[in-house]
Amino acid sequence: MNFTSIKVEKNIARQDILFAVARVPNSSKAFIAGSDFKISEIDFQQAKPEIRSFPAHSSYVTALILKDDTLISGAYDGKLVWWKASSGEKIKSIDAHKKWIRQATISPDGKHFASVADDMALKIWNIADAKMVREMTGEHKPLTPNDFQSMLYACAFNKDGKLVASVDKTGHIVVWETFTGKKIATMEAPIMYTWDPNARRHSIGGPRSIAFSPDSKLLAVGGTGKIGNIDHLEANGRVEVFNWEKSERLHEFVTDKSKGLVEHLEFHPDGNILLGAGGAGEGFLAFMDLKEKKVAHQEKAAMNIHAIASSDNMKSLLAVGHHRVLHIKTA
Amino acid sequence: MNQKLLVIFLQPLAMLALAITFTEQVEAQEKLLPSNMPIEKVIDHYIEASWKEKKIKPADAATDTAWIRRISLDLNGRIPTPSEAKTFAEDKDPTKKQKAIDRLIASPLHLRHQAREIETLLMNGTKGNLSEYLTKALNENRTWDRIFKDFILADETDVANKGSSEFLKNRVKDLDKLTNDVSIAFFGVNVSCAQCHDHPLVHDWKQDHFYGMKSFFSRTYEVGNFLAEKEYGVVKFLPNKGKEKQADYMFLTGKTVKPVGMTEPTKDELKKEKEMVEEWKKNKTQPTKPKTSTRAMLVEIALGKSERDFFAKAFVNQLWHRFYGFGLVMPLDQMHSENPPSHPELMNWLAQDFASNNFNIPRLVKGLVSSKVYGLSSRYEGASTPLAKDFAVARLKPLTPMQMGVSLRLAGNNFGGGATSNADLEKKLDNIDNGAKGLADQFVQPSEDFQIGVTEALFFSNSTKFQSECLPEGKDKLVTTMTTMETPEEQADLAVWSVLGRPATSDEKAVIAGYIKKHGANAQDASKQVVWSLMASPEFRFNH
Amino acid sequence: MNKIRKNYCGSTEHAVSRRQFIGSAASGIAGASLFAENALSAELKKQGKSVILLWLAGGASQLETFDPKPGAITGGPFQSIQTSTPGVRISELMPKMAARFKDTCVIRSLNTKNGDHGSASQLMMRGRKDEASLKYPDMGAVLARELGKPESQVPDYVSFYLQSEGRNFSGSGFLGARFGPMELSKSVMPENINKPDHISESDFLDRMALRDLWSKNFETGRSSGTLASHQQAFMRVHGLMESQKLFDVSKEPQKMRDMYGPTQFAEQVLIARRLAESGVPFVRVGRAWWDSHGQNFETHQELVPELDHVMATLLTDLEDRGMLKNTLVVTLSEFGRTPGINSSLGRDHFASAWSCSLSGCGVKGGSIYGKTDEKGEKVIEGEIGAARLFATIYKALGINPQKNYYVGSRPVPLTDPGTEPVQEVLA
Repeated sequence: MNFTSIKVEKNIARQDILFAVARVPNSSKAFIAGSDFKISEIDFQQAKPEIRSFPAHSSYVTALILKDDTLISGAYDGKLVWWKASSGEKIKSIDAHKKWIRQATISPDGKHFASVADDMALKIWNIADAKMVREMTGEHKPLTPNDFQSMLYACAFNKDGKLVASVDKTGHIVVWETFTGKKIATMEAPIMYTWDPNARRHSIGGPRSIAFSPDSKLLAVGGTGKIGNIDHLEANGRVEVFNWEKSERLHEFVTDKSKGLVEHLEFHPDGNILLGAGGAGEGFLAFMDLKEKKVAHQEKAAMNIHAIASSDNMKSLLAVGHHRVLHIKTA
Repeated sequence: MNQKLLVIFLQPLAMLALAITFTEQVEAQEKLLPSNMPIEKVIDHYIEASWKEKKIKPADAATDTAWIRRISLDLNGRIPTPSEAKTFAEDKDPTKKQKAIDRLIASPLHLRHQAREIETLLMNGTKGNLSEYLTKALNENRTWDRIFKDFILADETDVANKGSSEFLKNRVKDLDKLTNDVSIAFFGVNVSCAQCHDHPLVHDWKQDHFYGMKSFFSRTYEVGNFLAEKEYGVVKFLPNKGKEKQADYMFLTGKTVKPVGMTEPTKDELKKEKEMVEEWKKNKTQPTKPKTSTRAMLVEIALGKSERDFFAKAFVNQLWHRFYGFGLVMPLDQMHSENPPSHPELMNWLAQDFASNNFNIPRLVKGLVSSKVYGLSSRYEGASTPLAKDFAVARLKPLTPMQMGVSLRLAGNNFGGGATSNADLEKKLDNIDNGAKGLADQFVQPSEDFQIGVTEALFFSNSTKFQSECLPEGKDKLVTTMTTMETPEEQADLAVWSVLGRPATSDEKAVIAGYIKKHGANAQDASKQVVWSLMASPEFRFNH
Repeated sequence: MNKIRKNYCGSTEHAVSRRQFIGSAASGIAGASLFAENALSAELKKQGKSVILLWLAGGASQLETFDPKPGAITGGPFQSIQTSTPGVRISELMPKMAARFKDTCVIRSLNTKNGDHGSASQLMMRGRKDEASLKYPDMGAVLARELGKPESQVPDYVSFYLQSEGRNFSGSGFLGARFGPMELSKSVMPENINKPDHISESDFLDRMALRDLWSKNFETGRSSGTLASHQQAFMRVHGLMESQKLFDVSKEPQKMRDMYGPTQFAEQVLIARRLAESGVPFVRVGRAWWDSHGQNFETHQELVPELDHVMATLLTDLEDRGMLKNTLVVTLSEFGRTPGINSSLGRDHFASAWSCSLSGCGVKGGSIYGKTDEKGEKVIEGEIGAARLFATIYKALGINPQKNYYVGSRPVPLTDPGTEPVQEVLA
């Protein structure tokens, strides 16, 4: 892509803060969910986008997985709920995690998904039968080095689904074999986690997004930089790219025009461009060029972006976040 | 006409009338001493007259050693060296006090001390560094009205005024505080109450006065790191009773300014202004001055013939308070008609004198410290001690942090006969002053009704920093020099001269000698303990 | 336009005394007179009451602690949980306090109208705003005065504030430095409290005696409040040095230290208990810094469980030692946080409807006072400000909130005339 055009085609204001989005393929429909504990189905091309909305959890909904007519939601209530997408009928509810589910991501073959939560567990689930097939624990410590509760923020599969990676608040990254649960590699991104011992005595930050490159060789992690005044997300967005097999950091990217957390990371299929999106007071999109090793393009977004569901090789981006949905077309 | 409107209309006129009458009274020379009389004689005259009237017996005059210590602290922020104190005490010259004053004022330390004291007066806890500007200004003997103007106009495009924007800049984010701080610092008036309502008891202060003063600053704002003034902007407020109104440009006396040629801005003009601000911010350049500066209006009105009394009185009172330990008006920020000075004619005369002599600071300083009243003892032998406002006994003044830092270090050194020439002494004093900040930071700036906390006592008692800075060992150091003396009595004498600036009494000599003999095992330690006890005593801690 | 701040002067009618504007310091000796104790006060001291103030600096969120609104648009992600009092629910982040709610009263209806860190913390530490020429003593100074013993060998007022953000040294105002705090800002051990090695114990006492002699000589024919304070400061040195061991947490059994937990806050609160146990009437432990403008939920996930654990441990510890009925544990901030959630998932300053808690001495445990609306945007029942909160605290400790101090000859009551304690909060 050459950034000749990044256009917001649709801008939908919302009462809720949205954390998750799952698109219905080949359509302008999608499921979104967030702070009102509900799941909404929208058609972003319609003048009145919301089709329906139904209560789903007892806290913030932070994960949505869609496969054919199966919709799965995950939330801060620790539950994973299976729904019939077409009707909104609840099929099954599982007390999947003991603490907040932060993210869920679908495997490339569409048969499984991974969930991560603040109980510091990464779990692999079978979509069809709603059974947990693997649980990875022990690597992400429940307490930070400063004796406070840690969080497990993000997970991602590689292209063939045989590997899955997770990253926690302190910046500890683990690559696992998906179905054996074996730990393959670890690396650290401590810059993204700020512990302030002197002025304010607590922490902020932590990496929030993770993605494998299409060739599975690179692992990108997104968050924010070192923060001085931890009352605010006042550092620029930050992405670190590792050669994970060697546990070696290759590049670091800083969104110098925008502040906040990079909460969504996605490689372009060509493997050269990496999209990071997020924000703090404002939102942003950043396109990083791995060949040139620089942030090729930055764009302000109308809201702090918490999740993006893309299609058509990133030509269509459906971004959700703080009181807003954006449909963005790129070229 | 509507009653309320009439009141609003007439009130400022009434205040103006009051102010004018007041000024007329001041100019009625038959009530005041002649303007060519020396300041110190005027002070003595009026104060002694009030004693006579109230049948107050004043304290005795301070001893020579007490006086030289007091004047050294007040003018140069330090205790005298033993040599200075001794020489002064033994001097038979009847003009020796005047010579001492002149000598101290001529020292570089005087300007440094003045700068610090004025900075404390103006900033008092608010962040900001006035020392760069004040050092330069006082070096050039700038007058107080010039200094006031420099701070209010804050024009740093003139390199001569570098640092002058510090007073306003650190307050620009809160214009209410800025207004009140200017009123307190330069006019002795705390109008903060008048933000919410007309003062119930003090008729001088209404909401109009607060917002009137604020108007002069309403266009002041920050552009990046620079202080700037807009072309447009007014202050509107909602009075406690009645509709929202626009504040006049009203000075504290009630006098208003009706500026000519000030128009409401058009939308275009506002847009242009906004664009210019963006440009300045982007390029980090000094914004240009407005065509009409409301701050300049304040300077003009405050220093105008009919209003400048206010300004003069505030500074006179503050300086008086500094040297006499108690203001002619107390508290310092409550100068209003319900709170008259303890000695109204004296206040008026001093204010007039200050104003008609171009607000010359050293001249006023000299006059204030040259009086007999200034030179009274702080000890009172009579049955009932007179009140502070009678100035019949000198007031104890706790040393400021820098005075403590410099004086402790000075005492711990033994210049003795060492530093002879003035230049040599000044150099040594300069070194001491330069290195005193660390020690000074351990002390709290005194405020009214100051209470010394146990933290200070613990610092004296247990801190290794105190030990190393104030009781150092070495050839030219007090504690070591003491151990070289022949008799414990001589050691006692040296210790007391060095720390307290006077000879030891025979009782004191006996006690100290006894102490040294008892703790004779380690002579150095014994002398440290003796010196410590003197430094930790109130006689050191206070300017008496 | 300048908005009129109706609260600026502290109350709608100052109850201003004429004197203060006409040079109340006109008398020769300034400072509050240490007038003779009355019988009641003396009685209280015998009972050895103490206050431990857990100062949640920066503004803890009431929605994430004591007044949750789960499911409201402003409620955030946290649930509420049932406390040991039927019908009373607090945030799920405080399970330990929920389980032992029986000694605690939560006030949900604070409306203090000031959302500025500096001036609001002054307000909430004094229960009122300073006047132009009168600096009020803060809670610690007042309680040091009311509950402390004149000849005490332990400090009366200890304040821990080890973080650098938001530190504003509270003060004793017109009560003077005698009742000022012993400020611990660098470590939990007071500075300069240990006798240095270079001097022996006997020499230390000898030189002090020498100093006292010079002091006496100097005082002849002279008097001033500041002079007196200088003498008092040195008189207290030895006693305070003796109290050094109270600050030494290693003197506690490891089991006890583990119970409180490993964090800095936990350690300070344990020391606070030690101090209270030894008769220190007021200890403030400042836990900075709750000002979560960004990432409010993440921050409170860190800080609230710590508070929950430490506070519950403290209350149980005090109870086990038979101290709880004579110790008042207060949680307080300068203000609360907005119901509205900002773009960084943070909450901003909010003083219109927020909470504090009182546990132990003199309060009705297991209770709630006051109510906020569904979204927590305003108080709908039992609205009180700082003044009534302070009156309530004083009353809980058996102190008359209308008791007068004197500045010169001006009577200054502990709280403004007409300020009623909240009876429903009191046992």
